[in-house]
Amino acid sequence: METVAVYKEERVKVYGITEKSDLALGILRFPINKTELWGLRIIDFENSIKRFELVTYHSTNKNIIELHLLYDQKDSKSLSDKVGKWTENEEATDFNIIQPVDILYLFGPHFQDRFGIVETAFNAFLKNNINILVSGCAGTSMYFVTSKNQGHIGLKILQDTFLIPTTIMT
Amino acid sequence: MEDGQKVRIGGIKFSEELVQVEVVCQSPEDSSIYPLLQLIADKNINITFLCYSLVTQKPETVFCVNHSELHEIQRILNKSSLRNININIIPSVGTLTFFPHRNQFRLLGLLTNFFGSHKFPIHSLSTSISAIALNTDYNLLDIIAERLLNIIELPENHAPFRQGFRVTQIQL
Repeated sequence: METVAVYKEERVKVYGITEKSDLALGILRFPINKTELWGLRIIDFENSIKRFELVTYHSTNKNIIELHLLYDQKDSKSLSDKVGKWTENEEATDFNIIQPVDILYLFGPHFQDRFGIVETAFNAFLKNNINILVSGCAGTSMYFVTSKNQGHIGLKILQDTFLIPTTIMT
Repeated sequence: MEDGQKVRIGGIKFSEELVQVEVVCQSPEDSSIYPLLQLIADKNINITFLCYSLVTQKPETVFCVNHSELHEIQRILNKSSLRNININIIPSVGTLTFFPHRNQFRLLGLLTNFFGSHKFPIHSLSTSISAIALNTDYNLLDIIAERLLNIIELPENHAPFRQGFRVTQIQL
């Protein structure tokens, strides 16, 4: 059975957008054969970080997993001390932090089922010289990490690009 | 999972069969990914998942499209203007979506540990507002879900792992 719904939008409609600042971007690299161990360590992150904003990771062709973790800058020292102890004697493993950074995220409807949504956001940033440090787009969400102060400019660009009923700034 | 207790989550969802494309540019100034995304959008191809990073000297992008778009994606990637980028294609990938993560590390760490201990590949992963989307080999989805039930508890009335319908955008 097939159901067809037709609607027209001049600009891509978004349910909401959020801007957050004073965050830290942790970049962790470890060998794929250490994934089991790092799973346990990631569980232990909870003792240093109250919550994450975004996590992405991918396997590189060098059998390394590169993990990007976005969290409150206040938790940086605690996490850095902990991960630093784990990584200091391990091969092909390192942890770096970029801070402060900003994040923008917007969601729905049906981003994952429609073409051109990611491209619209990326090219809007490119045209306005906003460098995206990290992005994670999955399900109905799109996250964009920028260097400090670029987030607020990026917010205005997204507001001009998408039809956005709700904006949250923290 | 402490004390043998299972972690309770709301559900697991399987994607359709996908193709994962990894694109590595040669310098931080190389913005080839932007025209590539434009070419994909121009062909009305939906990107179901994307991770991008510009934190090393070689910006990396990983994205997924439906498996039926494999040949069209290969045609796009063969365009001469994109020849300076390194491309790796994994032709049969499935996204496992786990929800909710509640912005806590427990589920994320548990899944990472599980995939590592069973030697199941994690090709890429991204969190969204409420879920964790993890890309692995498509042909492993059923066996992964079966084994995960040893450490994860789902509600009695949870939705089927495979969606019974498909949403497709048609350009009018």
